[in-house]
This record gives sequence, C-alpha cells and structure tokens, in this order.
Amino acid sequence: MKYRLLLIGIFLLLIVVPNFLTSFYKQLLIEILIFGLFSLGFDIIFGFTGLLNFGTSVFFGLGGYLALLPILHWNVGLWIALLITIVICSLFSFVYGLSISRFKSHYFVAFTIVVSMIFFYIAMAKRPLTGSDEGLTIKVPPLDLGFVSLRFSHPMVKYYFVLGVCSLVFFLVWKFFHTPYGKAIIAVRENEERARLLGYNTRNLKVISFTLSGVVSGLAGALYVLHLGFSSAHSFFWLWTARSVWWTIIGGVGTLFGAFVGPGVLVFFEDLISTWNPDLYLIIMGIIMILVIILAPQGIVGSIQTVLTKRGK
Amino acid sequence: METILKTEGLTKRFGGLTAISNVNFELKEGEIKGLIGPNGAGKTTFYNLITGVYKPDSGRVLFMDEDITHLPPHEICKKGFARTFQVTSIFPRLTVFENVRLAAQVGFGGGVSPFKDVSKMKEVTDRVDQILEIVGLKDQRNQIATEISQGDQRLQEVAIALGSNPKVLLLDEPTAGLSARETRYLVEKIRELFVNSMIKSVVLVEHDIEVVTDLAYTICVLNYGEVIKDGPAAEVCNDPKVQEVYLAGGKINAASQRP
Repeated sequence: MKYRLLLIGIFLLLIVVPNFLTSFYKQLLIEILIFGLFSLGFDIIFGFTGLLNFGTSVFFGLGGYLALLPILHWNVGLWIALLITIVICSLFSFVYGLSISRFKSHYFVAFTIVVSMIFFYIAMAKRPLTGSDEGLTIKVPPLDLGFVSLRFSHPMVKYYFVLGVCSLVFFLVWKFFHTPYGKAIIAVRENEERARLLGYNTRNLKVISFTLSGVVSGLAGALYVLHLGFSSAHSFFWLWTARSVWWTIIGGVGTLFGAFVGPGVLVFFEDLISTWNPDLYLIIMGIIMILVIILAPQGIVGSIQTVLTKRGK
Repeated sequence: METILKTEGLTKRFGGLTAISNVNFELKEGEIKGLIGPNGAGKTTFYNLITGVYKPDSGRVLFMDEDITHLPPHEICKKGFARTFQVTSIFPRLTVFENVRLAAQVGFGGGVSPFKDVSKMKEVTDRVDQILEIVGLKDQRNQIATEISQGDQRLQEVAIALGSNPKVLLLDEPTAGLSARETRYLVEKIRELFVNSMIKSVVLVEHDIEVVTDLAYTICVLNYGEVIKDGPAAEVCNDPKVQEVYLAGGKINAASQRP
C-alpha cells in the first residue's frame, strides 16, 4: 500500500516538475522516460518470465523505423505512425517469440544475440531503406488531439505526451501482472515444469510475454525516434540491449517501476559526472554500478520494497 | 464404483531398460490406491507416463474412458490431475499463499483470464485459505515458500496439488524427508481431506509401508516395471511373493527414511 502511494506521489511529481526545469533537463527527463519504457519491455521478459533476451535492441530499432518510415514516405500522422509500430511490432515479436520458444537458458540468450546482430548488419547494409549509419531524418508531424493540433517538438508537448504514454503502458503492464494470466507467467519464471503440471501451457505463456515485451520495447524505440526526429542503423546495435539490461538490473529486476528508476539514476549521474570530468566518467559509472550490485543486488526499487515489507510486518 | 483412471498395457523403455512393462492399472473413483515397490521399480516413471511428461512406447492411458495418452502434460493436468513430487517442487520466491493460488486459479474463477484482478477473485482466494487452514499452513500464509521448514514445504506441496480441485491426485512419496511425527501428521491430514471429500481419488506412491496400509484400500505392487500383485491391502501384504520382493529390499529403504 505504501509502495502504491509512493508511485502515485512520483507520478504527480513528474507532472509538476518540468515547469521548474531548464530546457536541457526537460530533454533529459524525456529521454529517461523513454529509456524507462524500453527497460520495462526488458523487465517483462527477464524479470517476470525469466528469459534473458539479450537482443532487445531488435525491438528498439525496429520500433523506431516502423514509426519513421511511414512518416518519411507517406507523410502519415503521429497516431497512425504509432499504431503501425504497435501492430507490426506485435506481429513480429509474436512470430519471433514462437520460433524461439523451444530454446532454453543459454541457447535462448545466444539466439537472441545472434538475431540482434543480424538485424544490425542488415540495417547497416540496406542504406536506401535505413540510411545506414548516417541514418534518416524526419520532420515530426504535429500531435493531433482532435480539437487542437500541437507542435510536437515543443518540449512541454513532447514531455507530457511521453509521460502519458509511459504511464499508460506502465499501468496496463502492472495490471496485467495482477491478473491470473500474469501470475501464470510469473509461475513460469519460478518453476516452469511445475507450472506445466498445474495445467498451464507454458509455451503460450512465454510467447505472449515475449510479444508484450517486444511491443513495449518497440514503442519506446518509436518514441525515441519521434523525440530525436532521427534514426540510424545504430539503434539496432547491441549496446542498446546492454543498456536496457543494466538499467533494469540497477533499478530492480521484476519490479516494473525499477525499469524507470534505473535509467533515471544512471542517465542523471552520467550527465552530472561527464560534465564534471569527461575522462573519468565511464570509470566512475562502472564503479557505481558495481557498488549497487554488491550492496543492493535486488536493485534500487527491489531493496526499497524489501525494506517496506519488512517494516510492514 | 466407476473406474476413473486406467492404463492398458503401458510400456516404457529407456534404451535397453524396460522401466514400465505392460502395466494394467485401475483406479476407482473415491478410493485411495497405494503404489509400492522397491527403488527403481518404476513408480515415478509411471506417474510421468500418466501425466504425459513421458510418452509410452506402447499401451494407453484412459481417464474416465477417454484416451489421454497423447495429450501434452498441461492438457492432461487441466482435465483434473494434480501431482506432488518426490523432490519438493514449488515456486521458490513466491509466498505460500501465492503458491497455492497458482493452482487454485486453474480450477476456480472461470479460467486463467488476462483481464480480471486475481486478488479480487473471491472464489480463488477462499479456496486457497480453506486449503491452508485444513493443511495447517495458515500462519505461514505470507511467508516466502522456501523460507518455511522442510516439513511445512512438504505440506505445501500437497496444498498446491489440492488447489485446482483435482479429480485424481497423484502423491509421490509425500512423507519423504519427514520425521516420524511429521509423517503421522501428514497421514492424518490426508485422511481428513479425504473424509471431507476435498480429495476424491488418490494414487499414493510411498516407501513407508505403514503409511500405505494406513491410508490405502487397495495396493498395487511394482517390481522392475511389472505389476506383481494388485488387490485389497491386507491380501497384498500377506502375499509371499510381495514379501519376498518388498521386504528384502524395501524394509531397509523404509527404515532409512526415518532418522
């Protein structure tokens, strides 16, 4: 209960806070939210289903291009672009999930790495389609709310739009993991054989979770492209996967909210330390991450939850 | 009494080893049937064949006259089977309550929905609390499953199996690793559940002959994958062939289970 109040408090804070921030920090907060959404996708598959998908960059890059290409070539609006992203991303991740659902543990990890590398090299090679490493630039269409059309590049419009999408997805995913179906997915993470012998079709559960994870990560990729007005083949690079992994781990695996806290803390520190000392910053970031993993292996949110439940007793 | 579970000529080979050989087994509705035999007699393999974890080389498994031999495990279990495991198999990082709820939501509340809030499904919650109450795990309700005592974990194993309200319960050495006192407690609980018809038809695999004779009406004896005797408990226990096989190897095993 306390935890829920904390979440609502943070949400209200996020609504108010941009009014007091400089334009630079507004941009930073937008990126944090988008990265949080991306990590949320990873947390669904890793934290809740127990499958280490080391190729989330596939969805991030794909989602970005699915939003970018229709805008670039057919001049579609913002909503249509996002709708295309969601629909095609679901179909893609469903088929992808179905085809790798038989793999287990490290075979699964290896396979996802390979797929993400393949996507990266294809994106690099297909210059006319993806713009390769120089990328493609779009003019982001306005945000049409029916009664009014807002300029998307305006920081406040962009911020509230991103906050709205992230909160909505977070809420839906949170709700989903409180349904019997969501609980069954957690059962797969805990003990797949047992879950199967309780009568759960664990393969289906894994595929659905994989699909959900793919859509959420893809949506984050689309938002990131809309935020930058640009996408390049580098959005498929494995470094994005690694980021989603460490953001989630630092924030707290299997907590959902940790997916947002991780990038919140790390991106903020990254900015702070890199302005202070650009040479040392990667070393210091590394030390911070190691310290968090040693001192709070459950991540930031995981540790807070543990403290709250212990006090509650 | 109707026959609820039946196998016909069930055979399973692992390479050159015939683990289960031409087993004809019958479980009537509303009875507890013991399945005994020395180590390696094929008892757990038999369970794995019934629940579809292994597929037999020949023979059939019939559940209420329906052939379920070739169904995948989750569909077989959904039809009304539940089993416990020789080695405790629970959901380690969830609470005792959540563990049982995962089973209860299969049988209650109208299917595994992706839209309803599970904590608001009263039918499911009631069922779980009822089971925890009877089994005696009410006080441990909100503890993490692996943080309770070994004996309580065995009880929890049974509680999970009961959750989905199965038609047939397959118990695989429920008393393994328990002290004499805990064993008596568990036997009493199983009897109580049976009398209150919380469990209906049971197959009980057990090393401890006393537990089996305490609970089972009929006993089936396996040796090297073959049924050597099947019948009423008293008759089976006095059978010279059973005594030869079981008491020679079995008594030592049964004794070593107790500290």
